[in-house]
Amino acid sequence: MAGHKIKLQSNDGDIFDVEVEIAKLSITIKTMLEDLSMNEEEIIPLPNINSAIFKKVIQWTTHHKDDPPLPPEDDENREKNTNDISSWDQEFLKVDQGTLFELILAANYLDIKGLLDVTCTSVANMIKGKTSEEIRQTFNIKNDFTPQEEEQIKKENEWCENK
Amino acid sequence: MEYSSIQLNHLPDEILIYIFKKLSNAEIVYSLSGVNKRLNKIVHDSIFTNDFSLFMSTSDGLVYSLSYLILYRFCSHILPKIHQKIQWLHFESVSMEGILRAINYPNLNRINLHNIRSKIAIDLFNDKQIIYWSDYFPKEKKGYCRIYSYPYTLKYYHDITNHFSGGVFKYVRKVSLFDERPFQHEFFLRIEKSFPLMEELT
Repeated sequence: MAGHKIKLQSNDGDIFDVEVEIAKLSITIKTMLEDLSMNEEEIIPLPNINSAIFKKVIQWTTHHKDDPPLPPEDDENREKNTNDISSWDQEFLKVDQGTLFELILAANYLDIKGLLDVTCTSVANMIKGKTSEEIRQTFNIKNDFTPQEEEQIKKENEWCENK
Repeated sequence: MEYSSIQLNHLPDEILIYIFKKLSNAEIVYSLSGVNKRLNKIVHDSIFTNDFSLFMSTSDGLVYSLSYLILYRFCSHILPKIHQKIQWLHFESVSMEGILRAINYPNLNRINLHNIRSKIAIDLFNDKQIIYWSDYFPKEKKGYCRIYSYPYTLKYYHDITNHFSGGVFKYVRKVSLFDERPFQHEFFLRIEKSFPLMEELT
């Protein structure tokens, strides 16, 4: 029923009234409502998502509620096109890295393929073309190789990183 | 919004793999090899190393070589580490020699060559029995040259055209056809004879 709402609760206790049709873009919530016969009057807990991230998720699903379903991913023929992020999504994804990764985890938990896809594409774009050292700096990743292993990698990379 | 401390390295493997699959295998290995132990292990898995494209292309299909610096790193440091996992290589004529001379590829069973004259391609395999044919597609404005070593042991044979040279392919189960010109009845009779154990034709 259009406009009908359900209550969803983030892990920090906030309760959100969300239109059923928008909430059902999450396969996880859709399954709770349909297969597990959860009453629409009940408050549905979302133990893995805080309210700040859930607000962003609702913002994204509300904007994309009329999108056609994404085609299934074909591994063999998958397109390597990382440029196809719409301008609205680009603006939506102007967040710090932590928020971006939380959105990815939320999209994965809620099973919202479109959101997972666009957030992962955004991270892929941040990786593209960088050297290993630039990747460490960009994503604050600690080098955990032993000094001997590190020396070997350094030797391998110095030629192109000194370019 | 409160600052979140989650970092790339905190994401589970399944999500990292989903992200990496948005990039080409060469892009993944180039950027993430040697970053840390965990990422190194993921990107050296065969899902990212069995099929390697070492060229750049434009959206309208033009193919050109990687820069010398990037190619150097691949040939000197990356390919020697993953060469045993590579089953399919794609490259173009300028970088061909460097890639093929960098190391042996014991499990390589398929090569796609771009921007190459068919005579040069055939000469590359002149000490082997080969299956060869070439095609030009005027609508696409592209020429394709196919060379397979004999005997053909793959279970599939894709994009067969009207120039298919025949022969018997007893391992092939899946066949696909592609041509800008229509296929005639006689062509299908040849296909039937060449692929006696075919299960799927598309």
